[in-house]
Amino acid sequence: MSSEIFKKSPQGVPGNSRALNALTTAALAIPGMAMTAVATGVHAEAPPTNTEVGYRYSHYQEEDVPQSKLASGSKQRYDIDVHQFRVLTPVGENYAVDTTFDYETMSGASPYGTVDDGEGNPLLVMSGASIEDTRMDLNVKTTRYYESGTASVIGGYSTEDDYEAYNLGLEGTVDVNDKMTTLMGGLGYSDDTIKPTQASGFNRVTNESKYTATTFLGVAQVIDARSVFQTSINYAYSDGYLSDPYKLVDQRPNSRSSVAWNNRYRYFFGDLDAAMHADYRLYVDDWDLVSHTMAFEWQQNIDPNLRVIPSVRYYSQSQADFYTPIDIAAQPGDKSSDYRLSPFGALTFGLSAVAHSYNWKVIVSAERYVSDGDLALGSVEKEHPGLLQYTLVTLGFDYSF
Amino acid sequence: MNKKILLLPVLLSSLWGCTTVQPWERGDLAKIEMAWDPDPMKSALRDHIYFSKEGSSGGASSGGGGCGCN
Repeated sequence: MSSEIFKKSPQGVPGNSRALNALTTAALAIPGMAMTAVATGVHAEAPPTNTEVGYRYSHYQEEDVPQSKLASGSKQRYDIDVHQFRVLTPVGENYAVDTTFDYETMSGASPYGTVDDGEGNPLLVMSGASIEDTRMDLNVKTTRYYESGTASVIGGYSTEDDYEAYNLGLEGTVDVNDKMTTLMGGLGYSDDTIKPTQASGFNRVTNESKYTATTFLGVAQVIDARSVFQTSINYAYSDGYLSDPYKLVDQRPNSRSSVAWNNRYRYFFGDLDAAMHADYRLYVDDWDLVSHTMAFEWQQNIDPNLRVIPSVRYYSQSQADFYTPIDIAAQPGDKSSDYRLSPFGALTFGLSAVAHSYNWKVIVSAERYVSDGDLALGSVEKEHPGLLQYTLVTLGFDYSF
Repeated sequence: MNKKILLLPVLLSSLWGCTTVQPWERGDLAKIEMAWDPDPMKSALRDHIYFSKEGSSGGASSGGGGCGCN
């Protein structure tokens, strides 16, 4: 949503609405108000009028592997710190540049594979607790704002000790139907290279690459004065080395096609001064993996300077067709015991608080993620022993000037 | 613009029984808590974490680069 909506003087507007219009436009000249209006992006976006800077620090620790599920290696999984920086700044009257930079450090152990516990159930083989990595990710999005739409160019680069990725994107929106409807679409391309860390006793690849092309089309609709709905289709195609070089046994197809159907609904409860977010995503791919994601969020205003946001997310996926709970090196063809390709379900519970004034915000947030075979929509015969649990905490601020 | 393209959203609006919400009636829709992503940095981190720990991904964007998350 934008200040542009309020700037336009609709025909046949009653006098008091004209006054309201003028008042609203004046209010949007206040930095904090303008920041709020620009950041919403529900419909008919307008360029930002202020520069906004943001920072988030997040920490999460993946829980230890229970001794009963461990065959060998370290039980201590990743400990991860993430620093996120963002600068959103107007350039001239019709452009904005949105720059984000992430700095992520991780240390701990990672699953190498699985073995039979003697009764046909998988036990986890972990690496030693010596893995350390740093990831840096820079993304720049430049947007041109038009009277009835936007056009964006996106460029990004990320690097890790053993991984490098370049990405490019083009996105656009067109407002039609009295700005009740926004059509959106985009194209993306990513070129990734992996150079695995070598270790004696392992026969890892040395230099492999893949590319991913994506496209999406969507429509957002204002339903009434209190609700909006958005639906979109995303298609992605990856080609190249898609296996995990750190697994003891892992051979995946060299291409993957996926379709994700995303739906988002927002409803404002005026009496409660709260907004409900309800999202659903259906994902299918040619590895036979199907997933359902449902997310609900309640944005509750406590007073003019404080918002509290409880949230819950449910996720369930089926297994990839070449997934095997227990590694069998001699098995011909594609095979992987990666827990991310196994059947499971997951729940995330979150609670955030946002304290805000006219030109700043302070954000505190915590999330608990639990994944389990029993949470899957279908029955899971052999749950993967590497399914994750973690608690994520975030502290941050935004400042506008 | 091609009239056929303009017809699609009109049809969608009819389908949902939407009546035109005038710009001055959109105050509630403009609130930050009604945005698709009220906190883009939080959404970006969530997407990255889920991308690295689950078997599926994809949203209403052109996507980003991959990662060597293992």
